[in-house]
Amino acid sequence: MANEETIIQFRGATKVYKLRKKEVLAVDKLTLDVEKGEVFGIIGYSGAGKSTAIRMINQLEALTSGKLTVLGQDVGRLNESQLKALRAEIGMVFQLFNLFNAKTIAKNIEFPLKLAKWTPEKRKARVAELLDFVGMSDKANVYPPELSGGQKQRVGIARALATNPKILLADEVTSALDPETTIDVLNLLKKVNKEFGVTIVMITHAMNVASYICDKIAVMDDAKLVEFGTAAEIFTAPKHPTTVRFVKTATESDVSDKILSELVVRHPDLAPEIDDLFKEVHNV
Amino acid sequence: MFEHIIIESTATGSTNWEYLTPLLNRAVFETLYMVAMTIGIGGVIGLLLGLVLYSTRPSNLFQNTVVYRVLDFVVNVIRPIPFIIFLTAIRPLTISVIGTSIGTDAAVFPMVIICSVATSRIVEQNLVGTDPGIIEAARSMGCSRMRTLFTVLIPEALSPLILGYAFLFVAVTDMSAMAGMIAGGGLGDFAISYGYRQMDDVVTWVAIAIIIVFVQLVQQLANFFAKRLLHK
Repeated sequence: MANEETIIQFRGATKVYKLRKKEVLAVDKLTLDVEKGEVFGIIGYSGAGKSTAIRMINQLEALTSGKLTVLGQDVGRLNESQLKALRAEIGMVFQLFNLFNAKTIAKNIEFPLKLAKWTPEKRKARVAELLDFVGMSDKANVYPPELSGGQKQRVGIARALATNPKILLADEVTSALDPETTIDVLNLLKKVNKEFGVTIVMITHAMNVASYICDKIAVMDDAKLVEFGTAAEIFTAPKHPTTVRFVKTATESDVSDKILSELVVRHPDLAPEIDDLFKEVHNV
Repeated sequence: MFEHIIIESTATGSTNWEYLTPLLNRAVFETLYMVAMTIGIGGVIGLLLGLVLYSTRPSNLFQNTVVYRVLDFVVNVIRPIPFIIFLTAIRPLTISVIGTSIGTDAAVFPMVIICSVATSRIVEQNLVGTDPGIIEAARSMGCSRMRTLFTVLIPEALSPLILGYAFLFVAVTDMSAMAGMIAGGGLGDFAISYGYRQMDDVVTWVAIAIIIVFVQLVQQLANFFAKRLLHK
């Protein structure tokens, strides 16, 4: 039984794609709980089903079978207008930003507010506030093609937060960014989570990204959930072979020190284990 | 009357512009009329058909295999018919719609049909080239399918669409030159009647020069707006 703080609840959620006569199982009986206020990571290689799983939450992908409850609503039973209302509560940020290139930065951020029928004055104030939050106030009237990747992602985050959603879906948001910009964007997401209490569900194929920001991590492989635990548990004691491989790649990466020190801060109880890991990484 | 002109123009060795200028003006007007009507009506019908073609494609906003296949087939059947044959082939339909099968309006009717079909493909192809991630972003915000199509997708593809319409404009001008076949008038008719048939090449060249200037102006204008809309 899920507790009342459960904001997203997958119960045997399954997605089967029909490609001509062949059926492809993309997500196989996924059962997961995402608690309110946490940063939840789904990690897996490409083709593992994580993109489909995250898109089930805002119904960009319908379920073939099983059940998914988001913010107390069974998403499989929503009609178009209920779905529209639900989507206003769920922001989404994308790997390749998906900004509207024909609209200025300000108009990009304003777009979801127009959809939600905010008045022009309220929209203007909200856009200014968001631009300030992501540090892009000077770029309000610029078009997306003029921005760097990191700047585009900041705009993407501002746009996703426009309507004050309760949930933010992050789809490989740092995969197209360099390591430093990655840390910047992840810090911004942390700020979103801490300051606004927005629940974040992120998918990534980079273990270092997941462990830097996520409270809990679910590992998917071949359409199935293969391991689940807190970031510290997954990082210090991986069980499934896929998870072991992911942890190995993370410790070999150049941001691993930052991740390890971050883990110590967040999980002081695990400090000895993390310290061992640190020594192992640096061959001390 | 005609013999008099032939005699005069061959006798003096120069073109009788006093006689031809009013005819040329009329031909220019007819061409502008045919092109404007065709682009105005056919361009809008074509835009709508193009949106249907694009959005009913598999895994698109209004995915509908039956609608897509039927429309796709119709477009493919009509498009390759040479215009000069099409113009005469749909004569019964032209009569029932326009009331006559000769004259400028009778020429505009088949031009509108061909223009609609050609436009639909150009619109479809330009929209197919837009990033599907943009649709996904709009949908994730709760944007309706229709609204996504008109307020997100079309603005995103506007720059190539403008160039596509400029391309169509040239094709329509080309079609309008064949209107003479059914007494539709226009610059093509003028060039054939008073240039080619009178063996007066200067008249033909003048008609060509006017068409070139006309097309250039439109293309330059389209290039200007397309570039401004790119924001790069």
